[in-house]
Amino acid sequence: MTENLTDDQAWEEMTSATEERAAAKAAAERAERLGVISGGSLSKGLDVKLDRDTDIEKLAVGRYVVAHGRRARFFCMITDIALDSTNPLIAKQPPDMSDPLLAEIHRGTTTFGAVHLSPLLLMEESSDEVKPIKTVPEHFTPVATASQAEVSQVFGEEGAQKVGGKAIHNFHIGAPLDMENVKVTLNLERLVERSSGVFGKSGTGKTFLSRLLLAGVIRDSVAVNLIFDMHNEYGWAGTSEELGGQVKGLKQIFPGKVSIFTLDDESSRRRGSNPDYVVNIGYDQIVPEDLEMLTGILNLSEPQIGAMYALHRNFKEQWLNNLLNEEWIKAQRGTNPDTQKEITGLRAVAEETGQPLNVLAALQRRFERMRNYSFLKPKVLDNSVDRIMRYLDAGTNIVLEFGRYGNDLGAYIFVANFLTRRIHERYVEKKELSFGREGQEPRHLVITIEEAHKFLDPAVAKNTIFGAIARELRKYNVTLFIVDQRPSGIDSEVMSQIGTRVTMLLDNPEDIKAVLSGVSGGDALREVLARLDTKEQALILGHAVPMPVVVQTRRYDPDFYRAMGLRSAEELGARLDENRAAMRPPKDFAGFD
Amino acid sequence: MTAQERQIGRVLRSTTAGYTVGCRELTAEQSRPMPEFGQLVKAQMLNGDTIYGLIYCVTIEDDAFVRQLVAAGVEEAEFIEDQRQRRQVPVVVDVLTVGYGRGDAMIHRLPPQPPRTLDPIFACDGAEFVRFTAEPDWLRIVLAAQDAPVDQLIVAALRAAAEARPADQRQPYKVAAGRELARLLSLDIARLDGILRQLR
Ligand SMILES: Nc1ncnc2c1ncn2[C@@H]1O[C@H](COP(=O)(O)OP(=O)(O)OP(=O)(O)O)[C@@H](O)[C@H]1O
Ligand SMILES: [Mg+2]
Repeated sequence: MTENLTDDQAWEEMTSATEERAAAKAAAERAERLGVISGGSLSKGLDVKLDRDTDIEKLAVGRYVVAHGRRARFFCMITDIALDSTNPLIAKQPPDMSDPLLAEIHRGTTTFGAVHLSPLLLMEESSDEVKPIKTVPEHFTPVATASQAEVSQVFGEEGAQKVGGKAIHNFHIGAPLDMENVKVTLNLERLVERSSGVFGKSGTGKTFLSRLLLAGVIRDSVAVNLIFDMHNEYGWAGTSEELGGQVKGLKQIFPGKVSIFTLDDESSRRRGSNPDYVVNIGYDQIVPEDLEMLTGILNLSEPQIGAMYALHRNFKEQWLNNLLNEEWIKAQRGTNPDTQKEITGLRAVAEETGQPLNVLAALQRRFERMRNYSFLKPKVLDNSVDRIMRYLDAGTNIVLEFGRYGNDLGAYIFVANFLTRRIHERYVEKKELSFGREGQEPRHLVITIEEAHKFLDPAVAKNTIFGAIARELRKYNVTLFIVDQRPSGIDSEVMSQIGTRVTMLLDNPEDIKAVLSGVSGGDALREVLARLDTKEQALILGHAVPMPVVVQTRRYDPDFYRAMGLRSAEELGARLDENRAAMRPPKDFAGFD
Repeated sequence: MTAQERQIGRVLRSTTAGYTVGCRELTAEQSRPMPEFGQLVKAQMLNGDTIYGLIYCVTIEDDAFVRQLVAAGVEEAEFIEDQRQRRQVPVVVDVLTVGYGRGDAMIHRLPPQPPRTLDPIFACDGAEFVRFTAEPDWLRIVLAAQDAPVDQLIVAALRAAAEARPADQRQPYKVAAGRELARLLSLDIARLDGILRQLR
């Protein structure tokens, strides 16, 4: 048969490359095709009648699908899955489905699957932009599972991109539900541009996800980080419940970009984290404002707070040193104005500062506890804040390990507050200098705190530095990254300033309400939130994503380390050998003539 | 088998929706096809069209001799056979028109004209049956028929159409046809179920 064809005929018989490509595309579309639009509305969502070949048992809500309309594609999400029939009677008189012929005839004709879609965005054929949706596709528009390209068009292509002359970095954060192999990205610049938060009940994977996100920020140098690592999980060897083992900390992944500071040298060394610097704070560096935040924890009364300020006024930076120094107190002398008798000790101090004796005595007792903090010293030679600023200025990220003090909320709050206040001050200074072109703008700083509600609860948020940072947005190039399991404990005004909210499972209605406050479509999202897995699934909403999205979070594992650029010793060795082999002349090389 | 040999009879009367054929006898000599319920038959038109129809009723009427033989109690096989072969009135076959062929195309619509009286009617062979039933639209015409036992006719025709196909295509054909029926009869689940069960 073929032999008889002339060349021309043979040429005609051959499929052209374009045809082949079109055929391949059509085949791919057919493979991913789920069904056709059968009705619906913009406000209530679209109905899809599933094709016979679509296996309803393999679908899941949350999957992204695209309706391929004539002029545009409609990006939608499956929100419900249903069984339908052309005639409701069939449900009452079920055919004999044990017969293969009958079963095959009925499946997909009289009885079929249906899904409900919520239309999300419009993708016009002519441009790469996505637009808000304002209409619906026609009847019987084919609907297919969204491809990676379509998901990328919505969320942004993974990696560095130039958009309007500005560099942006899209970070792969996980996969849409039911679409394991598709990557959802989040815009890191926008993540740090305003304060962000990761929420979820205990054990849902907040810390893992935060470390993942921070790794992205560090790798792409989107901002410099200061992480208050309460439980020693970020810097070096976090523990994984599930693997029963350890995972790498940020310094292990980015040895050149992350430094570990510690409050508890002994604990850090015991865990092998080899801190770069031990943070010490001198009593003389502490001002009453630093302790005011601890009112709740130290159980300070109003008069006691007043007394702190009075002491500070009188003794300047020596106030705390003096108060805690038995010798010094014993040596104090004064006179009682009523009796003109000489008085000594605390009584004399009380007289001098005009504070009641019992208040001072109580204050002294409250502060006793600080003696247990080995990082507090009467006097220190080095200024920790200077040191931290130097590192941050150089673009080095800092993880501050708390060691054993992580279990002491007082220590955690005190230190985080102490350092943040001062660093923020420096940032304000620098930023203001940069306005007058007298200095460079400081690098964008992201401060990570766990147990954030302790810093941001309504009682204290108004007058603490963290509340101020959250409220002033990015004015001074400092934003917060808060990790918390009780978002309802966070001041609502602060919460409203959290640009990007990543929330994992929450079951307390108050908490759910708090994270969804001020979010449009909150009711539908509440439903979504309540249905998240107990682990490693997150709803991301806000500034860093174009629309709310539920993801199966990316694994924090050796593959991730590699993606972040970490190479194992063996690999580096192999690479070295390769290079050596390439440079060495072949065995039979006899030299150049 | 020549076309002549496949002839089953001639048209007695016709309408657009169907026609009636008169056949000489029912028990054929070896070569003559017997008209069968559900069988596809055709008439050739002068303009070249072929009109297709399905046999839905075969009527064997009595005549004076039959009555006499029965009344006289004749039992001899010889007489009975002779009477059957040489009937006074023809065997009447009712045909439902289900479409027509023009050139290579099979058109599942009613033809412009019905066959004329005394036009010869032929049985279609398997290949032609397969060609005519390749698309399922003829089912629609059958379902709309007024006088025919529609459900039974569909079952018989579909089974025959499946039988005319190679063994490995019979099941897929029944499935495809069954789905078409499911669409057409979606409002009458009990009826659909009845037909499909008999298709097995
Ligand atoms: N992305 C992930 N990759 C690998 N394992 C994970 C991931 N997310 C969570 N896990 C597993 O879940 C466990 C709990 O996660 P994690 O410690 O982050 O929870 P958490 O919400 O911070 O809990 P807590 O409130 O107690 O601090 C981890 O030990 C780990 O085994
Ligand atoms: Mg944690």
